[in-house]
Amino acid sequence: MSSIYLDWAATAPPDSELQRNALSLSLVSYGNPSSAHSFGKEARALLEDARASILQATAISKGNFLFTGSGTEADQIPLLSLLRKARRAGHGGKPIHLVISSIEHAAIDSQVRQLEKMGFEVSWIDADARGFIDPQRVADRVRYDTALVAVMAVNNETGSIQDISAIGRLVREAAVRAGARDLWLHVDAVQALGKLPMRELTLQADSVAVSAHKIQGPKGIGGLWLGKPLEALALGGGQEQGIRAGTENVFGAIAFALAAQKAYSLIESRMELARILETRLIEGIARIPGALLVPHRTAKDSGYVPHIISVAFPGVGGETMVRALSDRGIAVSTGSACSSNIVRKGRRILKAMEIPEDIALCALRVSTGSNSTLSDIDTFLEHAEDLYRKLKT
Amino acid sequence: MRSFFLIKPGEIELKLGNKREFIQRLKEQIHLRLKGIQLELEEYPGRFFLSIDEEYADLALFVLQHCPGVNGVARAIKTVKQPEMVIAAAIQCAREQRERDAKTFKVETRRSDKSFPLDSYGTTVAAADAILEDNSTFSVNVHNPDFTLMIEIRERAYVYANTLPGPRGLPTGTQGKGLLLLSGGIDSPVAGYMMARRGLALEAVYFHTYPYTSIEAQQKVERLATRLAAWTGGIYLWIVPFTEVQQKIAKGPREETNTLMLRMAMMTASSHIARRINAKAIVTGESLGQVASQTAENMRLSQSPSALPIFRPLIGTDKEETVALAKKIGTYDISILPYEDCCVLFSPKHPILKPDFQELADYYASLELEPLIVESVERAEDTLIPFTKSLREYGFHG
Repeated sequence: MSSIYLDWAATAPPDSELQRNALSLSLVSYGNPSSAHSFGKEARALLEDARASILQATAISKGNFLFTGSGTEADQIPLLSLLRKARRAGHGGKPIHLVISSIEHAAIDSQVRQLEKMGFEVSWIDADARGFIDPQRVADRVRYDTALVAVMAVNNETGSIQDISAIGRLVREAAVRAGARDLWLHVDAVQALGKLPMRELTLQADSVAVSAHKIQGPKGIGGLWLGKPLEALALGGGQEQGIRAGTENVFGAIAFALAAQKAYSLIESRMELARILETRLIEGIARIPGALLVPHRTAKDSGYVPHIISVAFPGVGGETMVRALSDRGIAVSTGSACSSNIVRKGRRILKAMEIPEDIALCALRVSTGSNSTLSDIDTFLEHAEDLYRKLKT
Repeated sequence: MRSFFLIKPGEIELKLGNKREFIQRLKEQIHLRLKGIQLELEEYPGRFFLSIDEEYADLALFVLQHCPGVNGVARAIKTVKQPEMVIAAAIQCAREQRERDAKTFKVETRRSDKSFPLDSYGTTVAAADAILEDNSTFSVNVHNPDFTLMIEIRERAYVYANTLPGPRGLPTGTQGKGLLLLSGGIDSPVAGYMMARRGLALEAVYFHTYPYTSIEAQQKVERLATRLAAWTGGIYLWIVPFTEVQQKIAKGPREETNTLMLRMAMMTASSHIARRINAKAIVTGESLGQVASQTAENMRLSQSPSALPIFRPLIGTDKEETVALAKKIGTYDISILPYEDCCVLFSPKHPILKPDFQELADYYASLELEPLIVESVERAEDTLIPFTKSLREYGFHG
């Protein structure tokens, strides 16, 4: 049976050569980067080289890049630091206000819902039917007591690219008008890394979260870029400038850096490949009676990354289709792998875009990467069409 | 060291006609469920005494508390029929209760061996005095004691406190066999438990509609059956591949009848299986009015393919009661696992609540599902989930 992997947005197949190189280096320099002896200093040097390489590869010219345990953790750190702020400010018993997009990954969404239960006030901003957050609507919700705004750079189910530059600009202006003095803008860029330039995000955001395994690095290492100082809630041995305590993952950091270097040095050719695959997929779906894209988009639409695309086969549940495709050796998923294990009523993200529930339930996500081929797309289309005919009720 | 348990059989006492058979069945069930472990089970009027190696005491207690027909069970101290030995056992038993913060007690004595030097009253008083002397923080309370210390003078002397509840009801198999329609939900395992308690031996059937439902959904049902098996003493689970049947129903012209037709098809398949395994009844978890397919009219339709009686022990319960029972019998936390998925796409948006019986019975016939149903039953797999697997599920190993 053929084996076709079209779930790169869940995790990218590891680049084994790159990860082996990182492993060899970290096995030789095994010291604890925080130790004062030569073993420690050697490991420290590797860690700092990795940090510098990531900033260089992504062309980020300012701020700090800190290693975390995952993209999720990088998202949690700025959110949880608000608990310290809330405590210190006293806030006269008033809740802290947040402005959050309704299409965030669970790393933001679940954590914010928890803060909401703890008394934070949250303005949720829905996306339009095409999956975009209107920057003006975000800015309109900023108040004098707004402490944090979070909008993701690239949505993990639809591939929609949010206009972070405009959001940043409008939110800053609104903050000045409203008298919100220390408003923090956080951007989850986990799906943007390796696909979009990072530098532009850092010009507007105060923090940006990324993850290595989405760009063929190892799992268990993420990164948080910080444009200004932050007080972390979780404390420990003071590693990563006290923002993310815990002995540093030197192997992960080196592998992350190598993966970032590779991703950005090849970004143009990889983008071209992704567009070719996207075009083939979109044209193929158009030929399957009944199948549709959610949201509808055309090939080479600059509003979406070409790597992520959601397709619905109305009448057949997305999960049913995923299982049936899996039996034929084709891996796709329904939305985020992180939320496919939990009970949900409809699909949260597609729901926030007001996609009708019977379409949303039938959606599945196809995501490609640097090893994907036209034949992968053709095989997927062929089996999807056949299964759709057989399973449609 | 041996451990001793006093077992109080349940309704057996009432069934004068069949009493012998009931007693025999209960003994068989206890032996069956503790198979491979050396034990003695002695029968006395209104009592069993079980003697088992101490290593298996916790296991034996679990087994007895899950064995239908057992009303109550108590760990007992067995001793020789001498007053000083009986009193020493009473003190030991009271000390164990003291460790569980019991402060007040009363003593009751039953003496069937009249050669014992003290009479019942004398034994009671002597034991109570000894307990108070041993620990002055105890006090006697005959109306509402923290524990009742029981002394039974029979062929041996037995001393025990705290009878723990058994499932009560009738021993497994005394009412023949039933086939339980087991879904992944909360209700059907509870319905199975309730009928198991009425002496019905059970086999279970699950309708699998892969890829519309997942392998995880099937595994969930297997785990539910494994938990239920603690009460039934092992269970056969039939897994019927029902995808083609469901597809044929969905392709029919009347979308609003989908759920009803599927239930009729399941009942038809269940009747075939029931005949094959010689089951005398079909058991479902239906509760009146709980969902659209569980109105009186719809139940008349869905049961119509079966000539056997349909037992619906939850028909008059509400969800809260069922949930409480599911928690009690250990199936709730599995039932709420989230693997019920896209049947929402199969279920009609506006289901029929009050169907015209003849019209829909005719429609069911017109779908001509019988050959597909027969085939699905032929392809069905039946797997025995042994009682020992259930014990492992509850953390008993070896």
